[in-house]
Amino acid sequence: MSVWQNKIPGYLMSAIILILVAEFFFPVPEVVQSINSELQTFTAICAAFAMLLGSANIMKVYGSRVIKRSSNWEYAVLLLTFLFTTIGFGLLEGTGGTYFKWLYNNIQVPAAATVYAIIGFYVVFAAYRAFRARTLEASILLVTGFLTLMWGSSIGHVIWPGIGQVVPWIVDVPNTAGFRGYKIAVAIATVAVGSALFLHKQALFQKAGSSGEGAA
Amino acid sequence: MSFDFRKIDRRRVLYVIQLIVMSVPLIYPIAIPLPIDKYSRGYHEAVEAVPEGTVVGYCNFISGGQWPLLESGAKRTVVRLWEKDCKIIFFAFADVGVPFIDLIIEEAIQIYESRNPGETIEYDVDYVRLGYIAGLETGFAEFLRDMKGLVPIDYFGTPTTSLKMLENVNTGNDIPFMVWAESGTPAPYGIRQYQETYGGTMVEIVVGMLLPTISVYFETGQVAGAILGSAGCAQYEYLTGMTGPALRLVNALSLTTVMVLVALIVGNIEHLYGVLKGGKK
Repeated sequence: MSVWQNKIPGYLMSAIILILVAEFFFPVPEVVQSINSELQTFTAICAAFAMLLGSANIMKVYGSRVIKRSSNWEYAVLLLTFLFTTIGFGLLEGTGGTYFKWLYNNIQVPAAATVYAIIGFYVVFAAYRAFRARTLEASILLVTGFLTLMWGSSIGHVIWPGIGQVVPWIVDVPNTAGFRGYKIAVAIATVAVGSALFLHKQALFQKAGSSGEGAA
Repeated sequence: MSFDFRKIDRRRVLYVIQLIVMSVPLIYPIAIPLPIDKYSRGYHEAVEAVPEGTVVGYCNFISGGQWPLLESGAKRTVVRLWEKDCKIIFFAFADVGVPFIDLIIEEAIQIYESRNPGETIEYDVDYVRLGYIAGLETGFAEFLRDMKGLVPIDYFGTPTTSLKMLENVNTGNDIPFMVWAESGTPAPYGIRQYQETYGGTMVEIVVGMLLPTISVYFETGQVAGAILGSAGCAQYEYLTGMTGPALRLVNALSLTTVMVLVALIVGNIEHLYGVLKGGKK
């Protein structure tokens, strides 16, 4: 791989990491703070451009489906129609415009709410078919899930008033302990990956990952 | 001709029963006692403790799917803050959150004006809108470091430097209170970048399934309180005395949860019966 493809981006990345980390841990000159601020603004701008890239990607993927008349191409037509209509109204009258808001409030909102509500039906069937005490671990999960669900519904407190003491303990003690352990592990792994990127040793992680040994 | 129960499509039966169970409390409201949990109480106390005239940040991630569950809490929070003469900065780090800020503001103004006849809410006096800000955690960090530098114009195209409400507001230090309304995915970066760095008070409006995540930050005091799903919204409606849709919805969801619990019990009895029957063989 050429210097331009590998070395230069690597050095650039190391420099950026150094500037960002330095400001977090040490008092740095104002010029470094300004560079840091600019870098973070660049990130926000790049992320905004990613939206544009996402829209272009949708047009490419679903446009080719329509052209090739792939399976369910009619849905792709519907998607692209709404995409262009929404973009069109957004460009013409702004995101606060009457038609843009009408489209969003009367199509997007009820459709999204419906899809979310349908999950409720699947959850009931999944509770009946899949959530079973087949092993010890599954049994613990089942009992915990059962109690937490019961606590979450107001009628659960009517069925068994003691639920108000049991579930907060489950959430505050075993859940917090497990969650903190997981967060600490993620933080350490993030530092390890960040250090590897800084030292240009990411190949170690790629090798470990591809051989199934785990990345960190 | 005999009827074979084993040939019944159980999925359809369950769906029909659930539809009935969900619909009945929506048509005929049932009086089920509403316990107030510590997260809602903490949320209410934190909002009530905000000093008059405080600048408040309101980051919205709530979108279509979660809107019916969380809208009530979001609007009532805004109303309560306006009643305390707070200045609210609305923004979103998710593009889907922006149109819902419109709905929150429009309906919160209606509730506010019906509760406070003769008083009005004005842009650049009681609130400003900064729209969508890209960059998630990095964007939020920069937002709190130099708000006007990152967001040079507001949602309507007005330069943020010319907004009177933001005259003395540019960093996280100038925003003592933050409402973080999440939709589904836990985003602890709000806590990391705002509460941990600037030490302000933070409250969250989240779906109920985020209880295990939120409770961890609630116990440490990093999150002062949280509205957890429609049950949390109903509790907040009760605590603020602003009754609304959540109190009606919570009964339907409560009975749906009972339906899930019954499905769990029946499914596991069936499983146990199968295991015992197999064991006998």
